[in-house]
Amino acid sequence: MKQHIFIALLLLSVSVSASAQSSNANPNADKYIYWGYLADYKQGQATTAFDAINEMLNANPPQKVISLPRELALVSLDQLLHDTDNDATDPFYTFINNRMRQLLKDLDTPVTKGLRIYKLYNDGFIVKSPKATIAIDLIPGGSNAKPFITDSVVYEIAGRCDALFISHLHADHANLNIAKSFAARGKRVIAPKNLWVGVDPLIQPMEVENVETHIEFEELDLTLHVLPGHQGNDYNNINVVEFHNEGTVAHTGDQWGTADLPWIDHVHENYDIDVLMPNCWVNDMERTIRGFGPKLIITGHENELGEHTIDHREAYWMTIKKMELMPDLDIPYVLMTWGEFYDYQKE
Amino acid sequence: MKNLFSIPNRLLHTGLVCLVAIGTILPVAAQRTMPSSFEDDYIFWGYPNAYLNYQSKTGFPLINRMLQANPPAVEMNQHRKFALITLDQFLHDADCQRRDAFYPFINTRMEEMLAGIDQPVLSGVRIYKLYNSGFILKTLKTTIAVDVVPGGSTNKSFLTDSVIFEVADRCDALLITNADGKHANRNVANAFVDMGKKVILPEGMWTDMEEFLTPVGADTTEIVQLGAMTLYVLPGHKNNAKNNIYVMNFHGRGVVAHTGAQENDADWAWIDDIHNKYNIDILLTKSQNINMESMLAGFRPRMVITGHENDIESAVDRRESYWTTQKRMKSLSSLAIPNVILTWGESYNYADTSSPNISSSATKVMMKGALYIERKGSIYSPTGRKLK
Repeated sequence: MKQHIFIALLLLSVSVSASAQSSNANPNADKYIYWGYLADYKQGQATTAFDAINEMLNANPPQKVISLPRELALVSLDQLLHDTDNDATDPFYTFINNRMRQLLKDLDTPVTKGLRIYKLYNDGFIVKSPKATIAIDLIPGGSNAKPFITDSVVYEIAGRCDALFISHLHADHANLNIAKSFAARGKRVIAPKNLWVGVDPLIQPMEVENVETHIEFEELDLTLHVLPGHQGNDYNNINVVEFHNEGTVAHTGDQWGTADLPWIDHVHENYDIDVLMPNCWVNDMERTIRGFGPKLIITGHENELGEHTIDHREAYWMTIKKMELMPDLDIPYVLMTWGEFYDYQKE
Repeated sequence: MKNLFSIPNRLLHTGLVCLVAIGTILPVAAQRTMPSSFEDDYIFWGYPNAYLNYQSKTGFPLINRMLQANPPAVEMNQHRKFALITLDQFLHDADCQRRDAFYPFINTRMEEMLAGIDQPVLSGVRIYKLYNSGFILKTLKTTIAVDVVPGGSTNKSFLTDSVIFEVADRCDALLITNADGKHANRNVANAFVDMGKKVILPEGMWTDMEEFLTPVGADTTEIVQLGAMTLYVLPGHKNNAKNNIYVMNFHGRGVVAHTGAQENDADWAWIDDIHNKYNIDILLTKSQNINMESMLAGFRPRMVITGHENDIESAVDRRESYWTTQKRMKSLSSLAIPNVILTWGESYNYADTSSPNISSSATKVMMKGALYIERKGSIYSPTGRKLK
């Protein structure tokens, strides 16, 4: 009997609070008073903060030396993204999609020299040279039902790219629908071994194991070198993209583990890497960087909002701190967030 | 009936016991292996609380630097606006005061205030904002504290005892608007009393120490002379409790009003008319005012400085943010009353020469290698003491 009463009271309280929430609009919203309306308050705060961050980032674009306003903007973004109340809320979707639309608009600007490197969600990058536009690990993020980057935006981005390279099979790096959209436009997708076998002739899982493989893209004036990396036991292609005469970038995907480090130590002897794009939580960051010997570092994978809890949503401030741990490295880095770009030119 | 529920009940009971045990053992186990420092690799997997601690250790100092580089102004620049919005975010973390960086942040700001407070105010009045609705008003001759409270708990206050001591040492008097702990604190009052400074507060408050205090504030306006400042005590209320509204005339240095926690519909009858009796330069009023427009219309000040933002002892929905103050004041822009938003430890020097309340300014003079202040032919020490 007591249990029935308890359940009845529980249901009653749930239904009362639910109906209060739905029927009682905040009477003081026009005065910016939110007492008793915490969710509205936080939503208003997130909207204000995301807008302010956007403005601050646009006024202080990525550079090798990070300015105070830019650093604060990134830390402010970290704080917002580490408050789980902001997960999957309208202010977040608006923010990320606005940044992607900004990127989309910029993608139409021709690059006349060097490389323009765009950062997308998670470990996604687009590298644009005067002759080619390459996407790496492009994903929409979020769930299938509600992706972070809307279908229309992500497919518009895909439409502006000439090829897609995928490091490994994990959903935070590989998305079949996006791969298919590349193939449908007659564009090649280079995937890791065993991924999406037989889906489309243009989606090509690379049989790299223990040896480097390279593919010429003559029409794009570039060479893709695929290095046989791993994340644990999973294949993880390290894509080294050589844009002839413009520069070479290396994207390490989710490279993780110590077994590959002995050969990674020597990558710089075989490749002249301009820009290394490691994931920000790669194990032994310093050794990895020294192995590739790049002229510039741009990290990826910060603030992944997917399955991980906040302790694994790597913050921008952490990347700054990690870089400070390597004062003798003497290799500059550029810290970017979603939708930003950096122009790299060989010296 | 009992038999029907016995097995599920037992299972439920066993499950609960297991969950409690797991919930107890896991954190303990995690605690045991938690590194003493994360600064070797900045990997926080499994330690979200430590992660957020470090995040605040990074965020607060950056906010501090940004605020220092962009001090309070009527036209707030984008950098300052952004610093305040970011501060709101950190302070709306429900556990913010338990983060390692919170106390250093607020203490640093108080130390900066104390480092600058001895600078003479050559013209007008300098307004310092402390925690909550606490302010210090300093002119060349007079320094008044209003509603200064330490915040936090008795065991761990936001403003340290030494900060309170230093504040009391530099002020001539403490004014308390109402009995609410967010505006009044016995330890602060005692610090003033111990130094022989006046403490003015509403009648009926702290009757056990009344012999040391100056209770004022009946149903009509009262006038108190405090050195070079004339204090008008207006009979406000917070609901049914007394809430003294203080109008401070610094004679030639500006007129400042502090409304405390004013909230009473019956008082509008006279608040609506205050501007006909007092020519207010600066209104210090709580930010979370549902009737802000009426308050401004009643006082018609030349400038507004809000207080009470980010009252950490309140639930997050009542921690009024700087961004809501910005929005609220913007929505009242038709009143054409400029506002300045200050955060803890910041100051703003009001010396609007177009105000009839600002009559003259002083100048610094060097005599025999020492700094003095000269005004209208008289010489003052940097702290405002008349020498000749």
